[in-house]
Amino acid sequence: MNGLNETIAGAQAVEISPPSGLVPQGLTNFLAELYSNGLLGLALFLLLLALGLALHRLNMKRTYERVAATTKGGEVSRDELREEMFIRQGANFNAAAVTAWMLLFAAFGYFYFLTPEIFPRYNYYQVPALASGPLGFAAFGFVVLLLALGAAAFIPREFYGYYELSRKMKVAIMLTGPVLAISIFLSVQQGTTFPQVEQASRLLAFLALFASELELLWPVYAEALGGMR
Amino acid sequence: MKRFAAVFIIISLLLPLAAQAQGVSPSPPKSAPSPSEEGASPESKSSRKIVKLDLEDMIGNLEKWKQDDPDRYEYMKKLLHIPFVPPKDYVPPTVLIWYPSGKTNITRNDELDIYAYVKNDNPIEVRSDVYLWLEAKGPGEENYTRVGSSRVILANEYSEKNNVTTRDWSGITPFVDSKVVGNATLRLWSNDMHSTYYTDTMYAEPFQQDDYYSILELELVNSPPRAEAESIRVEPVRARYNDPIRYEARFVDDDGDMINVTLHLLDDRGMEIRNETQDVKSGTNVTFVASQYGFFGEGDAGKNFSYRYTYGDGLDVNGTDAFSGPSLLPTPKIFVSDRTFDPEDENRYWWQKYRFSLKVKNPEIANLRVDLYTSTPSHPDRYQDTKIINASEEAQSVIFELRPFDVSDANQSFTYSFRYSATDQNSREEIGDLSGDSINPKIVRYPIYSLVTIGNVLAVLLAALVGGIVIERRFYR
Repeated sequence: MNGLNETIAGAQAVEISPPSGLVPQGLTNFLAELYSNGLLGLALFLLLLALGLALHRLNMKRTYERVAATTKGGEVSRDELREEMFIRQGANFNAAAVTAWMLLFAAFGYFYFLTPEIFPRYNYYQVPALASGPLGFAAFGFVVLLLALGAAAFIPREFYGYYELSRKMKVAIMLTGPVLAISIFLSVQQGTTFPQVEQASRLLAFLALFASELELLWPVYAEALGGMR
Repeated sequence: MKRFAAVFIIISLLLPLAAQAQGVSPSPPKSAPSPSEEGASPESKSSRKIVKLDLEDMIGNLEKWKQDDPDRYEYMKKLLHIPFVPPKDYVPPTVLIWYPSGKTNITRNDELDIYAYVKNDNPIEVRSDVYLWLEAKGPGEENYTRVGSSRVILANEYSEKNNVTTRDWSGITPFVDSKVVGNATLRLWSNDMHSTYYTDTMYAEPFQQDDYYSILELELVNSPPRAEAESIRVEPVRARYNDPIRYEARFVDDDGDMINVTLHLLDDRGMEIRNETQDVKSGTNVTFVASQYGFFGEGDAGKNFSYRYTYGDGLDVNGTDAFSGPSLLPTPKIFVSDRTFDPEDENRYWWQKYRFSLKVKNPEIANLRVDLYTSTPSHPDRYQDTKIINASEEAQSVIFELRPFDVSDANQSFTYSFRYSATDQNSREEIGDLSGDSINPKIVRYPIYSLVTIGNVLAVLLAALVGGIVIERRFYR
C-alpha cells in the first residue's frame, strides 16, 4: 500500500476545490483541517459521546437528588426511581433511533476508515481481497455495524428513556438516519473517486456525521443545559 | 824433467777422450737448428765421432725403455726428478673471505658480493702465482662445489704498501637451486704452486674478525609465496562450455622466487577433475585459458565447477580456498522471442485484463511449461498462470489473458517475466524483469452511480434498518 500512501500525499497536496460559497473561507479552512485530521476527528467523536454519557449521569443524579429532597427523610431507591422515570418512546421511534445510532457508527467508519487518505495504515484498502470485490463496500459496512451493534442497541434506551422528548425532537432524531445515509453515500463516493478528493463532498459528509451525532445526543445536552439554568 | 814428461803423456792420452765426450752431447731442437752446425767443416766431422740424437728417437727410446725395463726406467726418472724446494724463509700467503655486507640471513635469490683477501709477505722474487676458487656448500649438502670461475694472482699484483690484494665474486647466487633452507657455508680454495689450502682448514682455528672470515656461515631463509586474493577470478562466471573462459590469479614471492602455480579444477561436489601447472614470475598474472587446456566439453554444459590453486617457490607450498565458477550454461533447447504486454485499455486499471504473450520455437521438448510471473512492490514475484506447449517445428504463441493485479497494486509500477522448463537461446530459463509501466492509481472500479455501489450502500442502510427493528422488538418491549 505504499503506492496508495504516496497517492494520498499527492491528493492532499492538490486539494484545490474547497466548497466555494457554502461557508466563509476561514471557516472552510478550519473545517478542512478538522475533517482531514483523523485523530482530531476521532477524539471529537469520542468526546461528544463521553460528554453525553457524563451529562446523562449528571442529569440522573440531579433528578435523584431533587426527588430525594422532596421525600422529607424518606428513602428513595435509585433503581425504583429509574423504573418510575422510564418513559416508553414508541416502537417506531425506538427502531429509528437504534437504526440511526447504528448508522452513526457506520458513517463514522466510512468517513475515516474507507480510503487511506486519513489513516493510511488502517483502512478498508488494507484488505485487498475485500476491497477488490464487488461487495467490498457492503462488507465493510456490515463489519462496522456488527462492531457497533452492542452500543447502538442500548444507548438509545438509556439516553431517550429518561427524558421528555417533544415530537419535533423525535422527528429530528429520526431524521438523522437519512442524514447519516447521505454521509455514508458521500464517503463511498470519495472511495470511488480516490485518489481524487472532492472537498465539498467530504465537508458535507463530515458535517452530516457530526451534526447527526450532536442531534442524537441533544436530549441529554438539552436537559443538562436546562438543569444548569 | 821426469815430472813434466809424465803430465804431457797423460794430457796426450786424455785429449782423444775429451773429443769423444763432446761428440755425445744432445743436439739442439730440430725446429731451430743453430747456424754453426751448418758451417762445420768436413775435417771436424771426420776427426770427432759425434752421435746425433733426434728428438723422435729420444721419445721412442724412452717409450721403449719404459716397456722393456720399467725398473731402470723408474730409476732414471728418480735421477731426473728435481723436487721444488721453497726457499727457507718462504711463507704461504694468508687467504681469507672478505664479506663486507655482513648480511647473514640470505635468500636464494640474494646476490652476494664475496671477495678473497690475500696477503703475501714473501719478496716478489720468491712469490709464485696463487690460484683461487670460491667453494659453497648449501643446506643439507655434504660437499662443497665451486662457484663461478677461478681467480689468479700474479707475483707482482700485490700492493707494495701492505702486500695485500683482493679478488671478487660479485653478484653471485650460489644457493639459487637449493631445495631446503638452513645453514650455508662458503670457503676459499687456494694454491700457491707449492701447496693447496682450504681456508676452513688452513688455520688452527676458525678466523673471524670484522668482515673477514676463514669460513663464512650464512643462514638460507625463505619467504613463502602469497596469493593476492582479489586477483583470483574466473571470467566469465557464467559461460558456454566453449567460451574463452580464463582463470586468472596473481601470486607474490617476497624473495623474488619463481612460483610454481597449479590450477585444480573441481566438479560440483568439490572433487578434483584435473590440474595444470605453470611457472610464473612473482607478481605477474598467471592465466589458464580453458579452451587451451581443453578443460570443458559439450558434456559439461549445465554443470557448475569450482577451482583452487596450489602454489610454491620450491621450498614452501601453499593453497587457496576453493572458488566457485564457472557455471556452464546449458545447451539451448528453445528459442523465445516477441514477448509483449497489452493492457485492456490505456487506463491500465488494476481490475482490468492484461494480455501477455511470447513466441516460442520448441522443436524437441514435450510439454514445455511456460509460467507467467508479475511483480509489484505489493506483490513481488507473484505467480500468475502456466501454459503447456508441445514440441513443434513452428514458432508458437503463448498467450496469457488475465487480471493479474488487485487493489493494493494500484499506482505501482510492475514488471513481468516468463519462466520456462527448458533453456532458451540465451542459455537461460527465464526472460524476466520486463517493464510493464505503471498501474492507474484509481482504487475502486465501480463509479458511485453504478448498481454495484448503490446496491452496496443500500444493503448497509437496509441492514441498519433491519437491525434497528430487530433490536427494538427484542430489547425494547
